[in-house]
Order: sequence, then structure tokens, then C-alpha cells
Amino acid sequence: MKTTLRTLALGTAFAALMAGSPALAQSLTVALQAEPSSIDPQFATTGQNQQIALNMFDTLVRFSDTGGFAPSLATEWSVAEDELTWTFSLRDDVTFHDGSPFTADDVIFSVERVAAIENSPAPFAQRVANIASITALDDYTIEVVTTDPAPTLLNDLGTIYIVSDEIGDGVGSDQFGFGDAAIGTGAYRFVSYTPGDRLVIARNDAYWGDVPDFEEIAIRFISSDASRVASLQAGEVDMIDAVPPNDLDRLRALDGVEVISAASARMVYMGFDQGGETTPMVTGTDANPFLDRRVREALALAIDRQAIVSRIQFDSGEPAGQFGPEGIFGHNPDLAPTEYNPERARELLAEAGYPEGFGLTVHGPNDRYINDGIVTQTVGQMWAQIGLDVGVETLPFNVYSPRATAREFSAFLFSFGITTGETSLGLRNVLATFDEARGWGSNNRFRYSNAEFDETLGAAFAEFDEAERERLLQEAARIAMEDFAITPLYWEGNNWAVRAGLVFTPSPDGRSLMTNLSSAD
Amino acid sequence: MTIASVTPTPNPAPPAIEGEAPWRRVVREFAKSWTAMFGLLLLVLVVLIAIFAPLLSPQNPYDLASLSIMDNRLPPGETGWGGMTYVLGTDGQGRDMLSAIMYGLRISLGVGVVSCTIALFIGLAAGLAAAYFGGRVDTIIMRIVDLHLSFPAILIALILLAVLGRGIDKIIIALIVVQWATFARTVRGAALAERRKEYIEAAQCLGLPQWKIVFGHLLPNCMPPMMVIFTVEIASAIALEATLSFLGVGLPITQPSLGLLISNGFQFILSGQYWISVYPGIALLVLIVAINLVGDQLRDILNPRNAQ
Repeated sequence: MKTTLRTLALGTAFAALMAGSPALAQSLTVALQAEPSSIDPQFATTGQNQQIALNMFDTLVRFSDTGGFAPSLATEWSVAEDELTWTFSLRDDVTFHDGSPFTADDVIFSVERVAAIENSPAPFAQRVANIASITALDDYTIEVVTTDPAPTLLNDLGTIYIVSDEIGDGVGSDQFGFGDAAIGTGAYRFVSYTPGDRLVIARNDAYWGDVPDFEEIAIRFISSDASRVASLQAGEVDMIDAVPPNDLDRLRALDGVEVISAASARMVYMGFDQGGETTPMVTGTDANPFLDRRVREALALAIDRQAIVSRIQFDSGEPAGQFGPEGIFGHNPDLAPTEYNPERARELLAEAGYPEGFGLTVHGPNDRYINDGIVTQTVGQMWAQIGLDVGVETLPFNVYSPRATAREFSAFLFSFGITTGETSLGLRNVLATFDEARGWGSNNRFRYSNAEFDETLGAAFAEFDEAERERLLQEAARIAMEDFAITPLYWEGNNWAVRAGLVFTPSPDGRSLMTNLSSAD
Repeated sequence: MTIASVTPTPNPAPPAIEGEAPWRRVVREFAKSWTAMFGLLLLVLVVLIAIFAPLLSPQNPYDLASLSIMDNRLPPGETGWGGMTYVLGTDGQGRDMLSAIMYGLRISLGVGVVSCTIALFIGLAAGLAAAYFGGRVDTIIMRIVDLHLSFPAILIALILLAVLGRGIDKIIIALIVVQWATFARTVRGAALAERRKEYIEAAQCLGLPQWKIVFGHLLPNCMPPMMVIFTVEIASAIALEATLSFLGVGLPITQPSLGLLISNGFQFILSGQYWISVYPGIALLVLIVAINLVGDQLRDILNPRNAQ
């Protein structure tokens, strides 16, 4: 472990003072793959920014481990009969890192600041666009009025990071990197930031939630996979994220290193062109075979998902049968991954009028997802085994993606990663009927269209009651999956490796949060 | 490195025996070098393996239906689910490495020979025309050649493949475009030297048609250096194809050449699964070294300076 003189001195002092609890004085070094574009938690919604922000800042609500929302800085919330007026009750026992108390004014300041952020590549601003007014009823109660009924307000407003109103107006995002502005209520507080190298955070002893085990954590940013793994092996760092899958077996076999794998909410699937009577990459038939549900079912049955996960994903990830894994709002517990059954697949192909199969070129990217080129080839291999005459072409993603969007492919590999904690966006963007004006089906590159599905999903987007909304999302997923709209393959795995003695508990969002890291003793 | 050089002789290359057919001299001189004979033996072996790959290989690695993903990344000597023993292991796709290498040799050699043969003909035509007609024709053709040779071969090939797409025909086209200029320049040099000789003058005085002079007299006398260049260029074409495949712009992944096999295995090499990259690499090395050994000795024999 790398220890600086200062932390060594601190450690000695603590050891002298508090003999018997050495873990509390521990300081760690962690290597993450991705560096945030700013320390300002309100700068961008990108994954690498949020996974840093969540260590130091809190939100009104958080995603619960079982799907849906759990209280965080807000303890209770309700929406009035008019479906426009929301009331949030706030915690009254929270202080910021600089000692000032957390009140309703900080929430209002934070929400208003979001709209003023400039040059963000992925702004939070659209999440507050629907808010007509936000007022403090007292120090710990706020009232929010929206312009239109907004069932997704919790998702939008609830995930905005709360900063202290002490920092004042006009503070730019870059100033958060110097520390004066980076004042939150989170489990860790900002110490220092060296762009391109490291961010140092320290425990917030006054944290309102569970106080972390570690005195100080230096988060280094090492984008090279090989260097990150080497740093862990050399003992320079205590934890790494984004372990390259091809190194998993080797690290699992190492003494003193623990590998943690969890399925993420990124679902990799095969899409079938269902947009017209013909399809470009099919030969041996004049029709578009994918318009026949039996053909789609046959191709789904032909894939051995467990083999792909164990042989190509190195046992990280899980076979998938729908968009959201367990723990994601809208996950349908009745939808299991399609069983591998090549005999039944051949029967279905024959029933559909293709006893000799047909010619098909399968497409996939080769530099985007974990071993995606090999996965594409394997899918082709499994389809060849039920009698199709299969060719496989894999391309770099920046060539592949525009061609897929231009609908040049017939059967192709893609993925959708859930970042909002619920399946609604995946269902809407990937499976809803393509409608550019409405913004639905924006990722529906295969032009699946099912009126019953669209109607159910539309109802879910207008529903305020959380339980009913989840039921509608589950129902929409069932309609699409039983129609074999797409063939889900697997949820990609997230992998971390920690030094023995540390425990990392992955959360459903798959983020590398320091708050998920604890000491084994 | 010849045996003859071990025993010191005042004249290392003995003069040709009077009345001996030229090809006999070539064979006799060639056989003097054991490294060249070794190279030739290797080359013949590799060519035979490549030609008879479908009969010799334990598996058809291009038939997706015969591969099993459950057998992927097996180390050499391991037996898979189907009871088949993989002598050189399997790749990330479950392909038998031995079969994949045999088929890969076939593609590499085929691509090299076909592209070089066509490039040779184009180069011959351009070079001969430049040398025989001289003047403006010569200037135009040779400036094009100069322009062409001033770009790195890999850059031209990469651009072409980016435009044309993937496939065996596309890579052959790219290799032809890259190589014809080398042939054109060499044949022009040889032809210029020959053109000044008396037999051409004699033929012109006899009133022979131009095509007869060019193809009947000039061309055969330019062939020896072309044979040398041809051999060496095959080796570099194979290496270039492997490089392009390694970069991912060459052949389709379902029909891996040696370069693509190396590329596929590269991602596993740090995880200790060396065989996916190393064995195709060795096969490529053997092929290129064998061709170069043969080419070097041919050059030594056919170079008129060495024969004097």
C-alpha cells in the first residue's frame, strides 16, 4: 500500500490515541478507469462524473437496492390532487462539510444553479426544465410546481446533487477542482484534485448516514487496462475498477486479491430487421424471414446464453431475458432468459417454411463491448448449427453504428445500458414504434412495431402511481419479449478487484463508489 | 553462407560449363547452398500443406457449424467436448489452431501469389513500354511510379481497404496497387540496359515488328531479375496482408488468415493463453523466411555480376 508521510504520521497519531481500531485510520489508494470531466457534481450526467459526485454529494432521493426510490436528503414526498404540486420534507440533522446546516435554501439554490451550468456535454438542465416554481414552505419543507403532470419528477429532480448555497452565484464548474466550492453533505469530503492524476477525499466524520471505514482515499485515474491491473498486482493500489475480462481468471487465481463481479444493467441483444418486406443481408429467400415470429423465436432458442457468459465473458455477467435485471424498476420476475433448445429451433424454422434455413450475414461491433466480436461470431456459429448459412462481419463501432442506424443490416448486435434505475427509457428508445417527432423508438434500428406494446408503455409514462407504473412497465416488457421483438443475450458484467481485507459491495447502478467500499474487520 | 565459401577458392563462382542449358546451371548453383535448399524444402512443405489443407486438417475452421464455443481457449494437447484432441489448442472461437493455421497458410500464400502475379504483369507492361518507347511515355510512366513509391505501402493499402471494404478480392486489389510500381521500376532498369545491346539493334535492322522485339527478345532477357523480385515481393505481400489483417481491415473474421489469427489471439496473450497468437506467428515466420532464403539464393545466381 502506498502511504504518504502525512498519512503515515496521521496513522501513527491515531494508533497512539485510539489503539484497538486500526481500520479507522486506514488510508487507501484506488485506481479508476474513467476520470470525471469536472468535480462539479452538477456539470454532467455522465457515469464517470456521477460516480465521483456520489462520494461527496447527496441527492434528495436515491435508487433503492430493490428498484424504485428510497429517502436520502428528502425523508418524504407527495404529489397533490392536481398532479402538479409536489411537497418534499427534508432531513433536519444534516450539515455540509464546512459545518453550515443543510436547509431548503440549499435545495432551491442547487436546482436553480443547474439551469445556469454552461458548456456541459450532458447537462442536468433538462431534468429541471419541467419545474415552474420551487419555494421553501419552511426550513425543511419545499414545494415544487411543474408545468405539466410529471410522473418522472422523482427521477429528474431527485437525482440532482445538492451543493451548499454558501458558495454563491456565478461559481464556475472549474472552481470545484480547487476545493473552495466542492462542499457537499456526502460521506467523504474533498481534499485535493490533480487533473489527469488523482482526487483525494477524506472521511466526513459528521456524516448523517453510515460513516465510512477509511480516513482518506486517493482516487487515481488510470485509463490503461494493463497499467491498472499492474498497479494492483504491484501493490500500488488497493482497488481497481473495470477489470479487463480477459484478466479475470488470472486475478481470481492470485493470492491476496479478491475479484468482485456483478451483472450490470447493460443488456446486449440481437436485433432483427422487421422494417420491410425484404431485408438487405438475407439470401436464399425473397421474403423478410424476420417478419415471422416463429423465425425470431427459433433464432432466440438457438442461442446458448450460458455458454456465451461462461466462455466469452469469463463468468462475469448473466444471461438476459429482458431489459432490466433484478433490482431495476420494471424488472419482470416472470420473464426468464430463453432456454437453449436447438431441436425446437429447427422445428420452428421448418414450420415457418425454411426447412433448409436461409443465408444470413450477422453484423456486430468489434471494439465497443466486452469481446463483442467473438460474441457476434458465436451467435453466428449457433445459428449455423440450426441450419442457417451464416456469414459474420464485425466492424469498428464508429463505422458500425452509422451503418446500423442507416438500416443496412438484417441481424445485428447492440446494447442498451440503463442509467436511470428503471426500464422505461430502454423500452421506449429500443422497442417503441419509431417516431422521430415524438422521440420514441430512437434506438429502434430494426423498426419493431407493436401497437399493444406502444399503448401499454404510453400508459406507463402517464401513470403517477408507482406500483401501477411498475406493473405497466412489466407488462410492456412481457408483450415485447413474448413477441421475440429482440433476442436479449446477456447483461454485461462489471468487475472490480480489491486487495484482501477490503470488501466492495456493488450497487445496481454498477458505479465504482467509495461508499460501497468497506473494511473486512 | 554457402558451402563453397568455407573452402577458400580464388574464384567463388565457377564459370558456366560450356553448352549447359541455363536452367541446369540455375539448379546446379542453387543446390550449392544448403540454407537455400533448406528454405526450398520448407517452402515446398508449406505449399503442399496449403494446397492439401482440406484433406490434412482435422477440422474445417471456416465452417461455423462445426465449431463449438465450449471448446474455446483450450491449451495445446487438450481434448474437447466432441472428443477431438487439439494439438495446438483452440482460439477464442473454439477453432482448432492447427486447422486454422493450415487454412491460414492457404489464404496467405494464395493472396501473395495471385496479387504478385497480376502486379508482375502490370509492372512488366508498364516498365517495358517505358524503356522501349522512352521519351514522353517513359517520363509519364516513371513519374507515376515515383509518386507511387513515395507513399508507404501500408498507407496506400489502408486507404484502399477503407474505401473498398473487406474481403479477399479487395485485399488482392490493394496488394496489386501497392506492388506494381516496384515491378515496373525494376523491369524498366533491366530493359533499358538490354535495349542498348546489339541484338535489339540487329532485330530492329531486320525489320521485325515492335511487339516481336519487345516480347520475343527484350522480355525474356529481363526475366531473371524479375524472378528474384517476384519471389521477394511474395514474401512482402504476405507480410503486408498479415499486417492489414492484424489491424482489422483485411479478411473477414470467419475466414482468418495468419495475420487475423495473430490479432485474435493478441487480446489473450497477457492472460497466459499464448498459443492463439504464437503458433500462427511461427507459421508466418517459417513461410516468409523460407521464401526469402529461396529468393536470396536466386538473386545470387541470377545476378550477372556474381557470375563473372
